[in-house]
Amino acid sequence: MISAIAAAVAPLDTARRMHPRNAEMETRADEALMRAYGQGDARAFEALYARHKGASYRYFLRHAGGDTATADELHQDLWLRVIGARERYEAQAKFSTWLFTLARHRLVDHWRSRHGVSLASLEDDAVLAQAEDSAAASRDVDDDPLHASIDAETRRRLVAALADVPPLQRDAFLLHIEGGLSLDEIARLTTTSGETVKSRLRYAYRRLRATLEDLQ
Amino acid sequence: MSNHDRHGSRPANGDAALERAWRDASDEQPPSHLDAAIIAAARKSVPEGGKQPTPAPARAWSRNWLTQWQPLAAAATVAGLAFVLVQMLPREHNATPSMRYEESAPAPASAEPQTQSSSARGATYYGQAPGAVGDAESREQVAVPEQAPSQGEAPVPPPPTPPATTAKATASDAAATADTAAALGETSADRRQELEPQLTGRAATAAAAAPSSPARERELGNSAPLDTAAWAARIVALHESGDVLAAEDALRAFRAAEPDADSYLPDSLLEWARTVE
Repeated sequence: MISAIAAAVAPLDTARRMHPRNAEMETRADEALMRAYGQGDARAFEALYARHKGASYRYFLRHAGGDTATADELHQDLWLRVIGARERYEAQAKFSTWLFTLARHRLVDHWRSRHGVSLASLEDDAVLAQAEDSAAASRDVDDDPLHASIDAETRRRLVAALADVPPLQRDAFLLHIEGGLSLDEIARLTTTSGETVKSRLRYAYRRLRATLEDLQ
Repeated sequence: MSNHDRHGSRPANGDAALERAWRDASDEQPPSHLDAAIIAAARKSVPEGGKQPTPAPARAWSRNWLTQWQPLAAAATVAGLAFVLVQMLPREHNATPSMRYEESAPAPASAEPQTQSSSARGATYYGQAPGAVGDAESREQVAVPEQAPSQGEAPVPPPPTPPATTAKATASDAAATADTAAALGETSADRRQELEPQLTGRAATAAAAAPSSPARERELGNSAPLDTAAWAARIVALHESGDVLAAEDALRAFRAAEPDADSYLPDSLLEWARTVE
């Protein structure tokens, strides 16, 4: 009786977390969840979103140099695309690969529309670096309230170090560390060779390590 | 972020300390209002009760609708174009005589208004269709040398006349030609010769309005009874225009209507009339 009353007055999120169906959702693969959502199961989408929302958001946030407004916009657009594509989704690859493919396309569109950077010039690091510099001119990463609860100095150094990494190397780094994609998956996503991705990652790690030597 | 994948495939040159530091420091999440908006959009995209019918049938219906109506739309377009063309063709015919009328009308109208009127009436009397203007002009060219210069009857085709106007003109013309017929009936050959130029002028006008075939002649003969002078004028016109067969038909019809038909003919046609049985 007491437990029933407690369950009734518990917050909605708590009730959802305790629901056995939600527990089942947490164990299901991303692809199965997306298929379930495509068939009309909104809870499957919620579980999927809970899994990947942080990664996709940080992917955009880092590429935007900490500009939360841009990250919010890109993040929302990405997930609305996922929602719009729910009936067309086919599990030909990992869901995260598909998700970050959409994310990267949205990011390229953003660069092209805001900074005049075309898709063809994406490989030109200098062009993208210039575009990023113009975007970073107005950013202030310390305005994000999420930063308050952790080591502000460490975060500032990380963000600043990553902002100094050329865009394609930064992209490979974020796809790997935030998206959890392998070298081959990144290579397919970026339509480059595995060696190229490996080289970009190596260079990004080296640049970040040099910048963050004192963290060790 | 799903940390379940974070430790998946790492590059061989991955820096564990760097990655650990990154993960410790990088745990930003989207704002809650953004989460709520996305979740709401996701829920809104699916119907109540889970499964929703796929919109594929709707798209198929849309395609079928287009496929179904495209031929009808094409047929309607073709029909519309055909209608427009049909509407345009008579206007082109109408435009031609009116223009010719404007070009040639002023001079004779001032010179001989009475004759002009008679000529115009004659053309109307014979039920000339607007499309027969070409034939009328060609026949008139044949008849012109025999016209008396004083007649001054220009080859003026009458403007298109509405049916009611034509009926009125026919009545008045019948009255006018009745006078001529009476004069022909009561006079001798001299009187006939006096009237012959006028008759010849009318013949020219009649030739302009003459039908182009015996069938048309018979048709007109059946539909429009003529007086003796008109008959004679018509026969003269047909004969002078070279349409001897039509002239013979007209003479036979004249004889059927008037036993003494040959006496109304000009002397120049009497010899020919005797050859017509």
